[in-house]
Amino acid sequence: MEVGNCPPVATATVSDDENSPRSAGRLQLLAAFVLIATVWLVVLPQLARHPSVQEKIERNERLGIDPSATYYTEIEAMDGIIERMQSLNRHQPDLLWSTQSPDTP
Amino acid sequence: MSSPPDDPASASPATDQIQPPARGRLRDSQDWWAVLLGSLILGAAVIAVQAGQPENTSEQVTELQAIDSTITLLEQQLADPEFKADSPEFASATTELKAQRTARKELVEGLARNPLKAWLAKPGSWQDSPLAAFSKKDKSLLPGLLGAFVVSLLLFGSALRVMGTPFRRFAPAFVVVFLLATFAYTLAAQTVIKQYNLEYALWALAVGLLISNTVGTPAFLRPAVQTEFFIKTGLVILGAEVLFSRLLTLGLPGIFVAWIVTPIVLISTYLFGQYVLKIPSKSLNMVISADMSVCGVSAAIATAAACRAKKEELSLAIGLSLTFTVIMMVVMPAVIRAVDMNPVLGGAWMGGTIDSTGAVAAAGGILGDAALQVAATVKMIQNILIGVTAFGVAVYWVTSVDPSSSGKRPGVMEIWYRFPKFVLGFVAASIMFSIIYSTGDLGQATVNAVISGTSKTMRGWFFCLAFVSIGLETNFRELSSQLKGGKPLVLYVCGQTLNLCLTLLVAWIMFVKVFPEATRELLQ
Repeated sequence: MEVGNCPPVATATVSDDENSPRSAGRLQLLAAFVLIATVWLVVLPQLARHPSVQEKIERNERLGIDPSATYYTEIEAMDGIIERMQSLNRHQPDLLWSTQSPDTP
Repeated sequence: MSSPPDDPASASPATDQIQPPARGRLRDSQDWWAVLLGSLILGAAVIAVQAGQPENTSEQVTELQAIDSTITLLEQQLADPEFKADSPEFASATTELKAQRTARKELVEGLARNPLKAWLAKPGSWQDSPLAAFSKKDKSLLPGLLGAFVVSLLLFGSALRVMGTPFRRFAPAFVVVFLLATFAYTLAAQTVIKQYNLEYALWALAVGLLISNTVGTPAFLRPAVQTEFFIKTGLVILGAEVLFSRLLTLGLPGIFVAWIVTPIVLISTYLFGQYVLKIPSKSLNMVISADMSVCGVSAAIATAAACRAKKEELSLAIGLSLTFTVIMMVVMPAVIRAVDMNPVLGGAWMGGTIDSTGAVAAAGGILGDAALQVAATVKMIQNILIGVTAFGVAVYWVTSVDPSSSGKRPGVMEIWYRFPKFVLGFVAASIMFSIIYSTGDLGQATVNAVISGTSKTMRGWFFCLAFVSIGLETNFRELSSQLKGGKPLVLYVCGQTLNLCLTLLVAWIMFVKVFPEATRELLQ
């Protein structure tokens, strides 16, 4: 990626004029952490207990699916799926390659 | 992004031979270091797996071959139309087949164990208490997290030291960046968040942005804010998971849906962005086109690195992709059910269009086994396209885009100087591991052990560290300026519409018209 310029970073020494925005920033950060803690520790656990969400979680766990996977190797169910496809290719090698159906003379 | 500043004094005098600019040389050096670090990690994993192999390997391979013969026999029996599905013999053969498959799986796992697996980990899922993220099946993940930290610290610290950043400055900064990445991973690991495909990349970016846009990124953190380096190293490691034999798993229908439609959509969307929408940034256009048509976050990372997109462009593309993924993974199964579409066709449609791999599997799971199998397989074949896409984009950029901005036709040496070298490492890892995989049971077991025990954990960490770094060096103004005029959104929506139409058409031709027998078989 392009080597761009870094945005200004906080310096070690801060003048008195900068104290006000700095403390505002600290307050904003604190507020954000309180919000994160509320959502992740209270709202989401409640939501996870909702029957429809619970059903979804259980189904994905049963099927070995991680919905947040970024690549196929992160999905546990993939081994079984690949095995099933390989078995299909072993027994009917033309099934997915030849347009002629087995019944066609 | 953070890179050591240019040193004008070190610039070479003008000669007839084309010399890479100083910045280019620094980038090259980082590219080669990424290849080296990626190779070291993969090489160490292969050696560890080899060292951990049991002494009676040949006996186990023989046993595996015997099990394979039994499985083939049982599968043939069960496929025989005269064998009644409701007979006790059928039930007995099915049970035996399951037992043989389980035995095979255990034998393959025993054939190649990765001793590094216990020492490299990332936070696991949790529902009520985040502390649960640090243990799995009553076993603490802390040694694994510590292992991933130490390996990353030593590798990147040593490489950056050679490139001019003292280790004593890098180490304390890296501790903080790694803790932020752990925090982001923990946020992403909450079960509800996981169900909606809100991946770690989003939270890593958010955590970094939160700090940089409130209190500001402290100066001492800068040595560890190494976005490009983390991404390039992660991509070299990802190469081990790009196995070309997977390409043939779903035969011609899979190739048509994933490898014919996808490049057509990618190129059409890019051209639409250039000539109709006239998006000023070609790299933004390319990253959005690739993440929408190939496979979301992982494709966006690979393409952005190959065309040297700006960090804000990558963030925007990922934001768009994740937003539409959440919508599509909910809406598409509902639409497929509502119109009573064949699950195989529906699975192929979702596999070819929903960006993210995990979301495709989750959406397929809603529609049943057949849809899940086809959707996940189509997406897996698309995943393999990442390597070709990254290589193609890198070649196109250095031969066509870069020269058109400078107005000169580049020579071979200049193309070589500009080419992102880490892409070669990525492609080489892919070819090498594909070859090892194709050597038989032992090769397959070795590659699987390297992937499950090392590569997917380490590249996950490196990408997470990269997104924390992007957040730490981005401000909201830069990010929002990318959305000016709404062109990226229009590009995504138009590209995805084309993707939806073309994928459905080709999947219908393949699975309904040309290969109806295969569709019937997949439905069983």
